[in-house]
Amino acid sequence: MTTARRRRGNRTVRPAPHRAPRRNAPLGDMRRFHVLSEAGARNAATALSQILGRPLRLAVPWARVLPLEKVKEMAGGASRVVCALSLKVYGEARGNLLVVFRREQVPILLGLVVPRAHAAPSGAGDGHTLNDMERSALMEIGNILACAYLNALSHLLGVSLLPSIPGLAVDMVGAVTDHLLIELAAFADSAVVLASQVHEPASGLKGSIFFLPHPSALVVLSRAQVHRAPAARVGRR
Amino acid sequence: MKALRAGELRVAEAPARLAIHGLGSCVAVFVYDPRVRVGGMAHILLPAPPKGSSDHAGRYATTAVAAVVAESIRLGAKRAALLAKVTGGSRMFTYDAHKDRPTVGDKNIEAALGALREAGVEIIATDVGGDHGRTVVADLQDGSLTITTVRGGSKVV
Repeated sequence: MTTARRRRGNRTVRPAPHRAPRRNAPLGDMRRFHVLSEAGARNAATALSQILGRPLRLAVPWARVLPLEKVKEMAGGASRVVCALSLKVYGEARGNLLVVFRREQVPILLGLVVPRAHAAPSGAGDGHTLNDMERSALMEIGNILACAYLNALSHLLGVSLLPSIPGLAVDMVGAVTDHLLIELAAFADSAVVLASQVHEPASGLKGSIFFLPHPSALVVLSRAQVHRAPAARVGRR
Repeated sequence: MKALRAGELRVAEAPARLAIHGLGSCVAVFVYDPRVRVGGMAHILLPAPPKGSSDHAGRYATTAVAAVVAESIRLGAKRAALLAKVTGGSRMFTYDAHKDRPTVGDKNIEAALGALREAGVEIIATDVGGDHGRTVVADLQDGSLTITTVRGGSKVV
């Protein structure tokens, strides 16, 4: 069971003050992105909690426009070492998904998903020397989170979204987010970022999911049929 | 110590140090003149600017190298004395289907080296490629470039 925290007061969407994206996203769009972010994260958290057999909490998701050079700061700063799973999103709304766990949490995560009998002592404590079993377990988690996330978006957008096979790296945030910036730099000076965090209270496990739609996908995302949020009524026009 | 963000370039003189934290498939180009201890570094994202764009010189290998050389000369460096060190350009994630294609990191490395040759700057050290991130610190005092990875400790080139 997923316990999503609902704190209305915290649901503000703050477009970054610095620069609007190329296609000036009005607030109505940002609200839609926020709803997408929340729906994706809730689905991902549900999937993960069912795999783990434990309740997960969903931290307040957000959607923001960040100047490109600030994207590296979103996951705890450029030098922090994390376990990152990166997936390309294909289909009618292209983009990149990044699932991030702090390096210290890799053993917790593996402990939750890899049956003990198979967990060879690989020195996963430092997070660099993962064996094949551990790599594939982490990639599978990335896969499941990504599919669940994208399913929710697909549903709200009425388009199909397909994730690539995940790539896995245990490295600095700066290094694992370079490709996100590179992909956007040729088109825009800012990035629309949909972010959310899932949290498993018993083990202290925390994972973040970031979705960075390609600039060409923003128009698709802004078509989201958002029924339950007031945003639908406050939309443009 | 001044940390450069993605797409940023900066020139300085000794005893300044310039740093880039968590360099992945981006490329860092460090040029300096050892006699006057002046130089600069660029944190490059892409090989070349899109057609017709003149913004963000620091983002692109061709424009960033030209700018960092020109700025260093303005600070007192001699073009003929400039030395360059290049690092970065990793492939952080491998998606099976694209294993053999050159990555944007590879293209960045090639473009940066090409731009340095074109500018007539001697390349004295490279530490490029691989599948790991790097934190780099350029020291204008002695022209050293210290490269730290999460796995392999640090080395000076």
